Amino acid sequence: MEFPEALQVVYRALDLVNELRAPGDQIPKTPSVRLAGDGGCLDSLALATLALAVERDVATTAGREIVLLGDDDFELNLTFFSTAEDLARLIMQKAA
Amino acid sequence: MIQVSVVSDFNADLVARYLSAGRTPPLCQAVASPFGQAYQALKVEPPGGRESMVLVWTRPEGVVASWQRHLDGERVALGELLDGVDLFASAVLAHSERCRFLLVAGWVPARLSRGLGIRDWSADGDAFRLAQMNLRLAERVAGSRRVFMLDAQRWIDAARPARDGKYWYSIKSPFTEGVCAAAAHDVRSAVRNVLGENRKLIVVDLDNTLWGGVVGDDGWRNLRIGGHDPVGEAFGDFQRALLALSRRGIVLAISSKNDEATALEAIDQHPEMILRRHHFAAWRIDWSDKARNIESLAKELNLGLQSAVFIDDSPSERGRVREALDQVLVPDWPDDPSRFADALRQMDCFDQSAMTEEDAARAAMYVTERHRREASAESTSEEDWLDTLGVRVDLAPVTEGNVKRVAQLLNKTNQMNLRTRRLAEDEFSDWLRGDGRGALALTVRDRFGDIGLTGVLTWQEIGRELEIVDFILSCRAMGRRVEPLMLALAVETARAGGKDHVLAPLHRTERNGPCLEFWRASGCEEPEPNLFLWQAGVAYPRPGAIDVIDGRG
Repeated sequence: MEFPEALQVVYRALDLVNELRAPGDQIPKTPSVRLAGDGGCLDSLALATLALAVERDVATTAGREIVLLGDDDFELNLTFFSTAEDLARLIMQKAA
Repeated sequence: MIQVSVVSDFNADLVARYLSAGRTPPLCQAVASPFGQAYQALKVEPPGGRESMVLVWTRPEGVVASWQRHLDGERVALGELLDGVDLFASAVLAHSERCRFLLVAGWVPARLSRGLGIRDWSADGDAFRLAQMNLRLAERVAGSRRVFMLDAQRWIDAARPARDGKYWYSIKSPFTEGVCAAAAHDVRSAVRNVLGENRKLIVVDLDNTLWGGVVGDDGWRNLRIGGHDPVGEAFGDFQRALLALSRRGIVLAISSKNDEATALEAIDQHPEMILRRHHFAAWRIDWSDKARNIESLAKELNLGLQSAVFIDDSPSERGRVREALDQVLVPDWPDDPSRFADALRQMDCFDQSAMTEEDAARAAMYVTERHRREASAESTSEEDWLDTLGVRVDLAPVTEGNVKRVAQLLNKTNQMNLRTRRLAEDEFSDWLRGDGRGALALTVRDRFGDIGLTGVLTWQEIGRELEIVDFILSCRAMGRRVEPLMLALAVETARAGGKDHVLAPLHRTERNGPCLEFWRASGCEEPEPNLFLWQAGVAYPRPGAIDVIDGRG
């Protein structure tokens, strides 16, 4: 999976997360948007929802099963969630 | 803002978030109970207070302990499961007394399982037993006026995938966000419904909507309706779906760009037509702008545009009406007629929280009203017309037998409504039991037929004054001199009680302009804006040519 495609996976998952947020509280779909960690806009439920949506999307569109939640390296994975771009790179790595 | 409390044994925060994030009315503020504390949450007042709406959505194993044992393979008697259901139902019913309305979701399996496979519908199977438990729950809550049971299977059907073990282990939700979104959608629909914001009128196009083909070009004999033709059969089924709604009280009307005589001939003559002329309360079949015609239809039927739904196969006509009349619901419509009936049957805007005799007869009443209008057009003046209408009004106290309909009028009537006070049936009954309060229900008929229980007058005595609290008349009965009769009845009540004045404080809303017009023309004083006063020492004359049958005993 190439980076632009992985970033689109993240954006589709963000669309889903945005449905859970008020119109004035939408997460912008930009590579640099901070998702988790310091200054991140997602709480734990939203983060989990995002990760589950990404896992499902990759399975559907790329036919690859990746694990973001429940992985032994989950805590480590979280550090890769800090921006949309970081998450896209994690997806590329997992789906490789 | 409607406060919604979501009570669940699992993490239902996703549902609460979907509810709170809704962008269209009714706007909701939702909170979910803490994980694993369904019974605890049911024992206390909802966080949003007694005006809250409550959704109770649980896993059966989360609230009926014996069901978990059954799932674990233990032999559990059906009676023990049903005892567990009774316990849960009691908690739900008790909680319903602490909120405005309560929605309880029917149980669906919370995990993927084949159960007993081909024996799953045997007496020991999961499917059989869960169905029995749902049935028991439905029976237990059926007697309550505040509790409505929702079909959670619809939410499951709406999502792919619906269940994923990973959601349970990660966020303690047995269902995916798609199911939670569908649940939130259904809850918002239920809220609209109990607030009386459902739709009452369908305005439908003809060519390629009600039938296949263009009647002006093809002639009525060549229209595709019914018969051994998949397309014709689909149009026939769509008409059947419309007829079913009409039997539930939804009023049907036509807006079509056609020659009227040609179109009506098709409706009357085509042998496969399900809907005939007598099913339609009104029509505009001409070459005028459909938006203007829909406005005109709503006015003729005395229904607000917010009651109307417009169905048309043409995207441009839909776009025009959407743009011109933002209160009219214009659903996106499938291109393929084989999907028309399903599209209609899945619309949630026609749901009704209660069904009264008046509802069932409403569509027929509007058709009768068309006959009245046609006869009226032949009359010389409105006064002459009213004199010959033969209006009869039956007065009755509000009792157990009619309070459901009275509450419905209270919650749904907008135009002739003094205060637009919205109260649930129980709340109204509680109010009525207060000192110095009274109520009258008015059933109206005329020589064309029964219009039904359409008027409500309530009052309370305050010292030397009698204050009218509710002055409500359904649009179906407006303009028949029932309004002045209601005022006369209030004045008679005040005089009988030795009061000095009758007061009517009108609470102005966007929609009760007709009520304000009536009061301003009533002859009452208006000592301050929207406050009307009649000196009870002077009788208010009852209007002529109305036969009043007093059943107050």
